[in-house]
Amino acid sequence: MALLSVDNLKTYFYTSRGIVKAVDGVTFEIDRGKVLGVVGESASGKSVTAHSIMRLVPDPPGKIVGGQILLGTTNLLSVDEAEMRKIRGSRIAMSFQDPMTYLNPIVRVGDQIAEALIIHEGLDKTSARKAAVEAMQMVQIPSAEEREYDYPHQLSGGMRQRILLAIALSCRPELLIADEPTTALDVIVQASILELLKDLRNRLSSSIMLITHDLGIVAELADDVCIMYAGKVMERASVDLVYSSPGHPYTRSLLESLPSLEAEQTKLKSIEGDVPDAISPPSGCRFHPRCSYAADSCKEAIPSLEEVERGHWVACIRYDQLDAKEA
Amino acid sequence: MSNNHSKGKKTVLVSTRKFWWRFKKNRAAVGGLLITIAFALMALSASVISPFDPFNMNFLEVFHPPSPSHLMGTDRFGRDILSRIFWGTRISLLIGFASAGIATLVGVPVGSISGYFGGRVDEVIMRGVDVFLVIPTFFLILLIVSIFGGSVWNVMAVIGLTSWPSTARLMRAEFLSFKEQDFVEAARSVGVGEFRIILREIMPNAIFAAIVNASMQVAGAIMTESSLSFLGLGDPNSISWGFMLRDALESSRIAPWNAIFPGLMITLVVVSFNLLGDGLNDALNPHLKEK
Amino acid sequence: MLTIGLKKMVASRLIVAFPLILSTIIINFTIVHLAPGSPVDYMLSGAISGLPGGIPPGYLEAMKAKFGLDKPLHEQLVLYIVNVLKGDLGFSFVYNRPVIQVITEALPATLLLTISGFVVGVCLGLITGVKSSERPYSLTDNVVTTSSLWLWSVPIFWLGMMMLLLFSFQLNLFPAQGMSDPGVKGFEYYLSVASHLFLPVATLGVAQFALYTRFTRASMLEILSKDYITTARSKGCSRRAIYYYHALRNALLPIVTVLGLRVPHLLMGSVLVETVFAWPGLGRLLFESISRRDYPIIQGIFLIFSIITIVANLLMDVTYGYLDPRIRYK
Repeated sequence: MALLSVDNLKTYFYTSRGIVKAVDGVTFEIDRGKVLGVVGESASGKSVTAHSIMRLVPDPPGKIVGGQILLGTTNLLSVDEAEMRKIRGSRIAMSFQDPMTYLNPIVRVGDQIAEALIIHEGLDKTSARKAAVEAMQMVQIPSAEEREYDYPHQLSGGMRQRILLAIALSCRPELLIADEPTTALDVIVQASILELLKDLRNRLSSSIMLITHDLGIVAELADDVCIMYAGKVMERASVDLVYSSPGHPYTRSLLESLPSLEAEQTKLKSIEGDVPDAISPPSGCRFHPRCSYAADSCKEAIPSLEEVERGHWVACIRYDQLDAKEA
Repeated sequence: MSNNHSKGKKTVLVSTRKFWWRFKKNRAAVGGLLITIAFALMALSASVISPFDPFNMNFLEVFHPPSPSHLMGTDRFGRDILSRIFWGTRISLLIGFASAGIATLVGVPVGSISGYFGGRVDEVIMRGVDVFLVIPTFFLILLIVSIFGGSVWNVMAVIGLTSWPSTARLMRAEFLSFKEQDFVEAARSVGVGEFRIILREIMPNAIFAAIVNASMQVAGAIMTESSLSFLGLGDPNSISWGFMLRDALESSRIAPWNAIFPGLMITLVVVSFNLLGDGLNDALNPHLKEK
Repeated sequence: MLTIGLKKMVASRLIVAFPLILSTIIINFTIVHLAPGSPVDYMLSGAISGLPGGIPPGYLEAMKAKFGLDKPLHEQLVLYIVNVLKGDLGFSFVYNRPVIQVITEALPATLLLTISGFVVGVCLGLITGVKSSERPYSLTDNVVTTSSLWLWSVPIFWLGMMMLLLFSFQLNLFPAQGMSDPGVKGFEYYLSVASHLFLPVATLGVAQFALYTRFTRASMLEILSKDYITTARSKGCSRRAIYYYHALRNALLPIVTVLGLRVPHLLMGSVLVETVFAWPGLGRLLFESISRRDYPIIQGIFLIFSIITIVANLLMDVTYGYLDPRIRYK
């Protein structure tokens, strides 16, 4: 049985300009000990999906309107808030994108890590502090015993991101959701965080849901990939399958737009067009206006995720015609 | 956009019709406006609507409680309180509007120039303005009025001249933010001169903030004036609600109506101007109120 | 405790404070010299009521010498500044004592009232502000917001008079005037002061709370939308922990900044309240000096209040620097 099973999740935002269907029927699974990469452009709904799993969607204006989220045997959408608070931080934990704004500026970092331990494991302040230092060491922060008394503004961006990870991992959650852990950092620091994540993946038994727009990180870290676009899942499979034989036109475009070190390139290939308007998306397949394989039938019905081969799911009605007809 | 500039039109970011529609929805603000108008009418028609001469002393009717002939009772000189309330409106509104007017007339240009041109000019002006923030202006006003006399003109001038710094600060902030905006860039690129930009592009938009501020300042000035009168400064020959309260201080035990009504009036006027200002503010910046 | 960051901040604030105090002294000087009549008239005013025999002979000459009244203006200014800094604020003929003495006698009563009123107002404001922010736009919130608007518009001296009418005259719960009952000693004295203190402090506190509650609410709502609150929620923090441990402590910082700016307003309120309740502090002193035309006292009070404002702002800044680790540590 999978650790996390998300089934037809729908999260809408009710604004004065209309209903934003940020997540519109998303389905995927994460197995124990595995890493799932959730990839997409901005406004693809990947972050909202993560917040929905944690039930951190601000209500108003957001609301989870449908679907099911199973963590083991627990349906996360049916438990009450008190129960959910026990789950947050202990069974599922999340680390966030911008390490500066997601840390409380007036609380020492050691205390911010220790807080989760005090809440969920009932530790007293001294033991929690000690465990916090261990967590800091686990995320490879040097001189952790001194660093624990620092305030966030005294640390560098990479350090702060490690603190966020330490906070999330302090209670050894079954699932870690890492929301864009490298995006706000500069390239060199990104590499070190990536190494850290690899190390954590090998050492810990937690599953990881890695949210990112960076296909490179996914290739290095993830076992499976889920490609999202405009609130829907376009393709889902193991990393090998997706990178070797991408099924969906969107995936293909994404992979093609990666600059290649080997082949000669004069121009970077990008996907034409813009991300669709979330309030009034295109009819039928959300990607069809930008798709080079689009046919008239693509405008009519929303394609559902079909298992086109074992463990490989694609949401495209022209899937089998793609290799034959290159537009 | 460039059409506007060549035709000499100004760029206004707030549509007047939408503004009124939003304002009308806010019942408190409309209430404030109506009460303000009521008081203004009261002030203008005081001589007509007052049942008695407010200065007329009648020692046979000292400290009479409210009755059909004296709806608000009489004070220690037998004067009709209701009539004095009506007449007191004049002083309050006069000083209120005049002070706010002076503060606006001085503060808007100073703040605009400071915000728009920045640099040395801005620094020097702001230093001066900051001094006013730290000094307790009420006591400065008190000192000046006690030495120079509490005539209506003095009080007006002093309150106005000590409150322009806050208006200046506000206008400076408005200009600082507006001068970076696109429509100003557009005007500059077409070759519109600096002063024209200030007057026809930015000012029509920034002035709304000044109007809101002015409303609050009227409220503040009325409060200051009544406080001054209460302490004994102010024109002893005129009728002011603050003065009435000062009179009532000794006699409030035996004649509480002396104290109740004037203070009630001050509260009502100040509330109405504050509500009006709040309502104007909300109508101009609706996005700030959205949940 | 005093880190380098803090020391730097205190030093920079002190550097700014001195020119401000100097400006106040200069303003004092300027006003008297711009006024109709000569400065001597103002210094000697009150003498008519104070001294039955008139001004003693030779006094005028002594005064002229001391303040250099026949010297050029800028020299007079320097003399004046030096005198003030030495503590000489002039002489009151009404009280027949140096101004500085009269003021320092009345100062403690004012401080007692003002600080108590301030504390009450801030506490009330914080509590209601936080409660309002917990459920914005709810019934409680609307009631609080509306009542704070009205309280803000009520003249504080009238509020005091109404309190007097109701709680003292009608209900006879509290004394109406003064600071204590005459002839009372020891513990009973403190009780007496407390009962006299209640209504004035209540008036000051209620009038102050109106502004603080609005600001606390706004500050809390802003903090609650910050990202680190999401982190706290993702850790499974309880509602109490989120509001009080995470949000309020951050919301306090901008509130402390605002508090400093409110000191002039607080002092004005204090003066008016003292007048209503005949509380023997600087406020009542001011009220009486106005009617007796005792200008040296009025000037002296203006100066003292300016200094209090500047010092209070300094204290607020230092408190802010202490509370915000971003300033305390580098």
